[in-house]
Amino acid sequence: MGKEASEVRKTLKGVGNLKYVEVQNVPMKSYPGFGDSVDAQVLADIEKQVARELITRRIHVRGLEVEFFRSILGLSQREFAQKLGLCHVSVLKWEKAHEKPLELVNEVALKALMAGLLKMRLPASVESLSGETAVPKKLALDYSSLFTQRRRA
Amino acid sequence: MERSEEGQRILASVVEGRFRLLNHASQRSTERGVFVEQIIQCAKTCFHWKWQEKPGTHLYLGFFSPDRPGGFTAVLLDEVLVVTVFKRRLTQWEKKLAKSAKH
Repeated sequence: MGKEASEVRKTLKGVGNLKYVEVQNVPMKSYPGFGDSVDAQVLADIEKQVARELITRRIHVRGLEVEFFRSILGLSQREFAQKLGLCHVSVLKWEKAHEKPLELVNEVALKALMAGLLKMRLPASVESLSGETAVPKKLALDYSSLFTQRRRA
Repeated sequence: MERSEEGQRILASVVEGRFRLLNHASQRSTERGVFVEQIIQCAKTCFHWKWQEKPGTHLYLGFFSPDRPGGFTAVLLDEVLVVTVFKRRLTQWEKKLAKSAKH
């Protein structure tokens, strides 16, 4: 290798299985002949932070988001369902219906579980946990503000 | 460094979460719904790996989750770079093994 890797900041298009999420100014390393690369730990942190954003922005949860929440925790459908006191078939059905929003009671339960697991402080009310905003076509987030917000919280 | 030794080092590094994803790999993981945690899981359950002569990478086959077979390719520079991630079908012997395990 003649040339050394250089540090750059670039936009990450898509996080986990969510194609509509875009994170700007992500620290990357550019390798000559290979291109840009992102650190796995940074990516894992971004995944968790995006989950927090989806909850605080009160974005409706659909099958895709259920899969996203479950996968960032590294849980199987069975384990995830157990935490919600449900049969794994329920989680399977939610995830299969990619675009279908969850019913209110399921959405609140799921967000309450996620808020607990992600150590978020949220008011324990149906209003704060229910979805209010439809899933946007594009959700642009900034890497540095994602993490400064969390430090403040 | 021997290829097998290099392959083992890559695997150990991925298991510990010390790796980078190339742009191509992060795009493919979004497309295929593969998460960082699942790549680590795949490295832990990896049962086979081999050296790919032409691109100079190592190919790893395992499972993203117990019911989701998958794999990844990686290369060792100063850090481990995951080049791509993919879903795969069970091989014939895996199907036979799963079948015999049920009985």
